[in-house]
Parts: sequence; C-alpha cells; structure tokens
Amino acid sequence: MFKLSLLCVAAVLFVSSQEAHGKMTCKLPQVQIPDDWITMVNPCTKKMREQVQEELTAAMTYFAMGAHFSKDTVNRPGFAKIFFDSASEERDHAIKIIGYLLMRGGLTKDISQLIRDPQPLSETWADGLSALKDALKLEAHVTRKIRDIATTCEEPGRDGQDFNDYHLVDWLTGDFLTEQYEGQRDLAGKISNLGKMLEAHGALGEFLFDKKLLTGASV
Amino acid sequence: MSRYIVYLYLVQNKKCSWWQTLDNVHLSIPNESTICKSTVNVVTPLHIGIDNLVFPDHASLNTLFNFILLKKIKHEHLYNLVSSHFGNFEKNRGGFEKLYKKLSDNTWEKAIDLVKFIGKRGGHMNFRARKDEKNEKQIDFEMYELGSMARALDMQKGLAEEAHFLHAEVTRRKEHDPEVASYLENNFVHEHSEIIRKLSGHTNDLKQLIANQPDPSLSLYLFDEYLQKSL
Ligand SMILES: [Fe+2]
Repeated sequence: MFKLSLLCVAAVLFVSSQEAHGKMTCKLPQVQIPDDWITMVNPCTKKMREQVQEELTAAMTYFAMGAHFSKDTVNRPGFAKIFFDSASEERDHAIKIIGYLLMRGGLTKDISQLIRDPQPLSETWADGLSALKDALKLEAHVTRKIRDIATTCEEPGRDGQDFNDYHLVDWLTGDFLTEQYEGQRDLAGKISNLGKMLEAHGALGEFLFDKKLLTGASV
Repeated sequence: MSRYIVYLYLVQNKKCSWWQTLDNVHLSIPNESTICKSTVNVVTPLHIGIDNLVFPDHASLNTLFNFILLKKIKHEHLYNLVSSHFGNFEKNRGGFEKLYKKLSDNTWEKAIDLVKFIGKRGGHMNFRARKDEKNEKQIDFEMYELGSMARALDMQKGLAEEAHFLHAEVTRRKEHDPEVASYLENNFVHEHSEIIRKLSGHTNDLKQLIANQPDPSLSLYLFDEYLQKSL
C-alpha cells in the first residue's frame, strides 16, 4: 500500500542525509473555510458520484466496441472510429461531472471510490447492427440515470435535507439530456438505415455502411 | 492475381507467419483456378503476427500488449482521480490538477492508439488479461503535492519497464519483429523517458523548494502557479 505520509518521511530522511539539519514538512496549516456555501445534499451528491462510474462504464464499453471492430477478422474501421469517438465522449462526460462536483465544493474526501475499475458490458458483437443496438440501449440506460439524478436532486427529501438544487438540475437537463436525446436519435437513425439494407444485402450493406462511417458521412 | 490473395492463400494453407509468407511469395504462386477452388476461408482468424509470437515461458505477444494496455487504462483512471483531488477547494492546486489531467488525457489517447495497433497486427483485446498487482490495489488519495509526483513517477517507471521488456522480447534474433519494436520506440519509449524526465525534474525542484521550511505553503503556492503557467 502506498502511504504518502511514509513517503514524506522517506523524503525527509533523504534530504536530511544531504543537509545536516534538513527538515521537510508536507502538511500545511489547516484553514477554517466557511462551509455554508456547500449546498449540495447527500442523496443528490451520491447519485452524481455514481454517475461518474456510469459514464466510465459506457466509455469502456465503447472502447471495447472500438477494439472489437479493429480486429483483422472483423475489419470495420468505420464502426471502430465512431465507437472510439463515443468512448472519448463518455470519458469527457465523466470528467465534466467531476468538474461540476468540484465547482460545488464536493470531492474533498473519498476520492478513491469515485472510479472503481469500470469494465465494459460486453467484449464481442455479432455484427455492426447489434453493436449499434447495444449502444442505443446503453444510451437509454444512461438517460434514465440522469433523469433519476434530476428527480433526486429536486427533492432529496430524506433526513430533512429538503433542498431543490435548481442549478444542478438545470445543468443536467440543459447540457446532458440534450446530448443524450440527440445521440439516441442519431443511433436510432443509423440502426434504421443499416437494418433496412441488411434485409437483402447483408454483407455488402454493412461493408458500405462502414465506409460511410469512416468518411464521416451522415448515415 | 494480387499479392494479397497469394498471401491469404499461403497463410491459410501453410500456416506460416506473415514475414515468411512475403518472403516465399515467388516460390509457390498457385494459378488462378487453384485460388478459386481453394478453401480460402476469410472468416477464419488470420494470425498475421502478434498472436503467433509466443515466447518461451511467456504468453503471446498479444497478451503482453494487453498487460500494457490495461495498465494504461488503469493509469488513466488514477491520474484522473489525482487530478480531481487537487482540484477540490481545500487543495486548490490548479497546476497539479492540470499536470495530472494532461497525463490522464495523454494516457487515454495512447490506449486507443495501442488497441488500434493490436488490431492492425492481428491481435485482440482481452480485458481480463490483467496481472496481479497486489501492491497497487490500495492507494491513498489524500495526497500531498510532493508525494503525488513521486507516485506518478513510480507509475511511469513501471510502464516504461514493461515497454522495455516487450522491446527486448521482440528484438531477439528468433522473435525479431521490427514493426513492433519500431512502434514501441516511436509511441512509448521516447515519450516515457520524456515524461519521466519531466516528473523527476519537478520532484527535485519541489523537494528543494520545500526543504528546510517549517511551512512550505508559499513554496507550494508558487510552484503550483509555475506548473499551471508552464503546462
Ligand atoms: Fe454520457
């Protein structure tokens, strides 16, 4: 286990061996900071923290999709490209939520529990269409989670913490939900287009669709 | 007949590795009709490289690459957490926050790059291919500035060691794989030593700045400001 305090002691010993009376302190004076500006309440904060893990699980799932479609036996660089892009977007969402919590005075403790080794929900897919369908289901799940945060943060209700967090809910619905709904519509459209072609032109349909995705054509 | 079809044919039928294949192309080019009748099954995995390279007493090159990849992903998460820690209002070290955010971003990009390379060389990603790393399990995130940099230095050194090990493996005579070696050099080795050099520079600077001081708060404040401006 990595103990920083130990390291600091080691550093002190190291320096003092060089300089006879060397001393090193890592700990800084405690400052009394008023805390009545920290208004996020517990059930709401907890949901927001959980959302970080949700977003990163989505990121890792998209990462796994990207990896899958990059394999020589699968060879769908267009699909790989959009999934790697989505993976980075999900990661950005997690970072954005962390940024919001920091802005509101959160994350001063228990930081290690924030990201708990997120794993992809799956590692292989039968074809491009099934990956797109999984992606849409995943997005719908994330959307439900965000709505759930909004519900909780409007009326945390428990333990007398009756605090309607207008700003957080506005931020979630404005920034996050807009992106969710746009993303879901885009995926549904792709599934529709690809699905129609697969009926009669399976292999060719997916091949063609993949090249469209690669060049960034709207499909 | 394209060189590629010949290559498919040879790989399927002779199970040779790709560099041997290219070498032997002139020896046994089958005629057109043989190709069409032959059972070239493009759905079967073509192990064109790293999956085929199995070292004595070791896993395949693919597995070794997976170790590095999973380590990168883990580091990406850790840097993210450390960055967040320094971004809270009590710590409020914008420079340190930025330093670790950049390391996290960079590690993420390199991870995507690496998984693409694995795909290019006929390998595959396995999220469960992780090595037991007991000593890395519990990390105390309530970090001090100096300690966090020592920790990052440690992580980078661990990663560099694995890349060096891999490089040594693929530059031996028997398992020689110039493309993997070159990839490691261009995407890992140079960058690793650059990051390690920078981190050790920072660590030494900060160590000297806060030595012999009962209260290092001003030194840390100035150093953090320097980090924020220089990154
Ligand atoms: Fe998201």
